[in-house]
Amino acid sequence: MVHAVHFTREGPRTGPGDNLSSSAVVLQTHGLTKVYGTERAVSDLSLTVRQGEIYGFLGRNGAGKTTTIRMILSLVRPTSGWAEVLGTRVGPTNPDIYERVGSIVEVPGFYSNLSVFDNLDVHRRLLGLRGTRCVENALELAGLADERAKKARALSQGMRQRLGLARALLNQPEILILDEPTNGLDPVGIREIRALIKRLAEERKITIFMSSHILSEVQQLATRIGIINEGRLVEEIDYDELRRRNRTYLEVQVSDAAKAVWVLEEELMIRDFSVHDGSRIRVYEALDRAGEINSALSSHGIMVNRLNVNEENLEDHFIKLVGGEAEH
Amino acid sequence: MGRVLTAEFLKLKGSPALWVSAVGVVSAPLLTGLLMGALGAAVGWAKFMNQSIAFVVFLGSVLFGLVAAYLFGREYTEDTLKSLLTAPVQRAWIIVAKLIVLLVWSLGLALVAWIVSILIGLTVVSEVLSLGMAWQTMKWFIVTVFLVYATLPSVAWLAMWSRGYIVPIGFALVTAFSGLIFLGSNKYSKLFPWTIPTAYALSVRPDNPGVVLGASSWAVMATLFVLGAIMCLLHLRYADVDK
Repeated sequence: MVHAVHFTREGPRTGPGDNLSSSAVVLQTHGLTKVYGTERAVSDLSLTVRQGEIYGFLGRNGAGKTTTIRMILSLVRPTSGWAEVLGTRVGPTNPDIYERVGSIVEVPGFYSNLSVFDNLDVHRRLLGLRGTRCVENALELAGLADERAKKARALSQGMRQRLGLARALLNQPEILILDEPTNGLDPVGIREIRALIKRLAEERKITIFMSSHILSEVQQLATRIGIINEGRLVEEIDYDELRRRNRTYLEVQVSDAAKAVWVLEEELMIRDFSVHDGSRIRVYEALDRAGEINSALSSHGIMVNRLNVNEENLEDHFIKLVGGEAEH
Repeated sequence: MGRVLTAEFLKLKGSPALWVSAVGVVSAPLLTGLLMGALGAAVGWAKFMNQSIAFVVFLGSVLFGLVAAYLFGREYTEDTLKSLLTAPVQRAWIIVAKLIVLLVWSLGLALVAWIVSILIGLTVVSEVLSLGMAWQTMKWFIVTVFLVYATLPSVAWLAMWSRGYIVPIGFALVTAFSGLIFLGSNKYSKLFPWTIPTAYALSVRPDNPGVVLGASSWAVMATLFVLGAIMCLLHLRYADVDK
């Protein structure tokens, strides 16, 4: 089943990812491959993230997103290929790069006996940052200032996610690498985290590489999109380019699609259309002939239940590339 | 290195493992006190403290193993390893810092056990405690625990390899009992690393020297320590953090 989802982003896309084709490369992978036994989790994956982008790394569960992120962060050794972050090839022997990187991988873990504040303080010490001002700032930014004394074991999933974000922001990173940052959150939590991500990119000019299996999330946030399927990067595209490329169509929901197809082809001479779910027909030409189409179908006893102009969206694009259904 | 070490110490703040281990180690002198009290015979400081050490070693093999498993395994059970490894610190320093914390913790437990032994001994032992004897028995405690400490990196590695507590604690239990088996052999008790701490503890008793450890015993312990530490270093360097 294909859902009709419109591009609903408010206003023009004025995010930091605009006109950045010439911006510096912040993150790049070169033929990253990870093989577990006989299974190729990630295959020859090369992607590029430029400064200021919010890069939405989109793919189904199990597509290879987390493995890719773990390789980028040097938590998993690639079978072949490598990753570069801020111009440095990542690897277990050169951790200095993490002074400029913040990350959350899946559900963040914390020392259960420590308070929210102390968990951040442990990471502050590891980062070699002086004074606890950065901890205070991160708590403030993540909306956890009132929870500072709470033990990590008592935190809800949403708060853990926020604490993870606070930890990732301690060192004021140049790039944030987030793996499914809204996973397991309630709707309010999801909205808050998305708003925070957007704010970080817009106000603090932090480049964000964010994986997600949720189309609407990527659609709302990303300035550039990489689609991964079965371990392979199937497309990398600017969101604006995707919009330009996607086609507008007239969608007609009818009582008898087979008969309607005959009317379109034989009577109206329309050839460029597609049928979805056995009742919805997408007509890609003659968009100005909506009235004519409606009356022709009606005159043949075909009931038109709905008729509207739509635009192909990320979901359509995703399904075209990957097949099957998508998750919102 | 300093920043990893301070972070490692901070991680223990309010940790119940600290109290659990202290209570565990204190049970050694308590048992000694009960045993000596029950026997009713006049007992000297050397014998009392030596018995206490023997209990510390036996209980300690499991207890100290538990501490090592906790220090190294918690990064897996609490899922904190990924944030630890994405901090700008060399992975080798993480292992070194943990081994230092483990040493401080172990020696701290040795001191606690010694202090409680002295306190209980004051009520049980018939002779007066001289400063020389106090100093000598403290040395026994510390050296014995130091020998136990040499066996701990292998437990730590098992905690990392198995990503949890069960395997290393099981290993600590098995080695504690196998250590007792070899204790009867004059030859092997000097060479089997999980017997050596007990053999040392028994050898320092003035009236019953038992097995006297040679250079080979110390070499075995040093080798086990180095091998365990290298396994830990290699694991953190090469193993995927993919769960």
